[in-house]
Amino acid sequence: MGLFAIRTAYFLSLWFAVVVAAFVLFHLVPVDPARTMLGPNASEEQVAAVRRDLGLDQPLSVQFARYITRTIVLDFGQSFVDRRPVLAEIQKRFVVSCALALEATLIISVYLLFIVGAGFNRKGARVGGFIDFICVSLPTLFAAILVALVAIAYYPYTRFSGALQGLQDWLYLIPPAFVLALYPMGVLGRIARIQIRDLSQAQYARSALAMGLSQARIRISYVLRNAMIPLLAAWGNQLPLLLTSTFVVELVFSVPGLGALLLRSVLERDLPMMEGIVIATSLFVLSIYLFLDLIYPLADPRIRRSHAK
Amino acid sequence: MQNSSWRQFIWVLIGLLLLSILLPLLPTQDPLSIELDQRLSPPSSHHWLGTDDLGRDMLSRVLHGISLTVSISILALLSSLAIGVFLGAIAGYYYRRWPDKVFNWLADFITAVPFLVLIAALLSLTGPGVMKAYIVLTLIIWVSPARIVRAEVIKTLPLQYVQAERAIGNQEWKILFLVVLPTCVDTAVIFAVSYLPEVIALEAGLSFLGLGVQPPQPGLGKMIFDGISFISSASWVAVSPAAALFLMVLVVQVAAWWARRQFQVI
Repeated sequence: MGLFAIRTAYFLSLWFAVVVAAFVLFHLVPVDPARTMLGPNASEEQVAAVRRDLGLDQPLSVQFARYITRTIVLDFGQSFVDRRPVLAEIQKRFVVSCALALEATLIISVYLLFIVGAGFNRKGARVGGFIDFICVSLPTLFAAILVALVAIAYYPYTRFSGALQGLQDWLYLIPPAFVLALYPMGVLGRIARIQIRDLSQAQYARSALAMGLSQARIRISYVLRNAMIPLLAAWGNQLPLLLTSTFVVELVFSVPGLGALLLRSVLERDLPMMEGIVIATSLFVLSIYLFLDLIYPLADPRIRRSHAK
Repeated sequence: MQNSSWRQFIWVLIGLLLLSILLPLLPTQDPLSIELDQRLSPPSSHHWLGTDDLGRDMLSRVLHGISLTVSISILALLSSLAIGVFLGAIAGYYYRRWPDKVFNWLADFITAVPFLVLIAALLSLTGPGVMKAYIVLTLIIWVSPARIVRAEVIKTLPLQYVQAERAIGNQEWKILFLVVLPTCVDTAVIFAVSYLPEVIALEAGLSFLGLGVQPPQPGLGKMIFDGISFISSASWVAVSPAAALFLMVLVVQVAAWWARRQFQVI
């Protein structure tokens, strides 16, 4: 497994760079964490005591060593604002954001099935092209507000319990998930349509038809299978976006996810929380990329062969 | 493809830029004048798009917001294009050698990591501003044109006419920048135009996060952010800047689509 090791090392190096970059950036910021924690009314001695507590009076190299050894095991310490452990809070929010991304993925999949079905038909492809254009042109900010207005007026499930406890909470997430899904729908739908159009006219599809294979068989096992590969690649690029571009949607629909948490911690200048969110999400996103990188050869025998060379 | 086509695209961008700079010169009301007795009044003949929670005219605020958003986006796009073309050319020239490897690592680093989030967070701590929003945008978006130029340079370098330049004895950097690059810039510029809607949405996102234009100056994203608080009682405060954003993106999309058609690319 030489390839596996090389790719893993590559992605680990990227993640390590994020960790280091976070340290550098957060130490450049002219914000005194001790002061943030205690508020403007604390005395100088109190601030100095907290600084000693946090290890901020140590030389930078010592701080850096401590930071690295703790961050590698995902220990981000406590929030400056309410002293809650950062990792636990992130995990809680992460589940909600993941549920949102999952529902968005489902919506995209259903839409893609529809596009694939319509793509074989000339008129259907036209309609699909129009829908794609609208999807890509709708800025998330606008779509979120539009959908929110409609949901306020007509959607019956407008209460979120704060965690994913029952069916109601899942139903609540459908409108924000739809907003989140719009852009990937447009991008992926377009790729699917173009692939199907081009591959249906490819020589090998024609010769299969001439050999007397049924239309359905050609479409499913010849055209669709080949169309899957660029679609998978594009999907892989969109997937992390579902997780990292959620702050607008989460804010408009008041979903207590990671994006909303980040926004709050930015407003409250909660450094450990921000650090934790950035490092944890980048770890997650990078593992998705690594996973996709490793399964491409399984999906496409041609890539497998080129790696073997 | 004609040699001059990418210049025409640049002119399209510059035209849009000028248009957006001229937009606030329209005879509208002052976007900053506060009329507290007119708070949150619905659209009327006096205030076409209503007023916000401080009684400021929404129409003029939206127009000024569009102007700022589009100019920042286009400027960021142009400068990221310049950076992207330069770095992409160098990476493509040293294909599979260490400058290319460093380039790829850097590009992966910027795209794979939710960097927008990190930088937005940090900038909001050190004091946001238009200039910083512009720098962040440029830092994030140079990767895409750079990757395209790199691929084009790799494709073009082994071609015969490039080899012929070598045989004549021209210097390497002259070949790269004067012979190879002009043919590669085309694709990058065309791509840049179709990328503009995304950049505009990104800028609005930054402003939504509180980075970029600072109050009381009107920024589209910030206006939407503020309007969300009144979304069920005074929906026009959020809807008009959001709709303006949509229309703007739509116009640019249609322009990009038309331009691609016109120049027979894609």
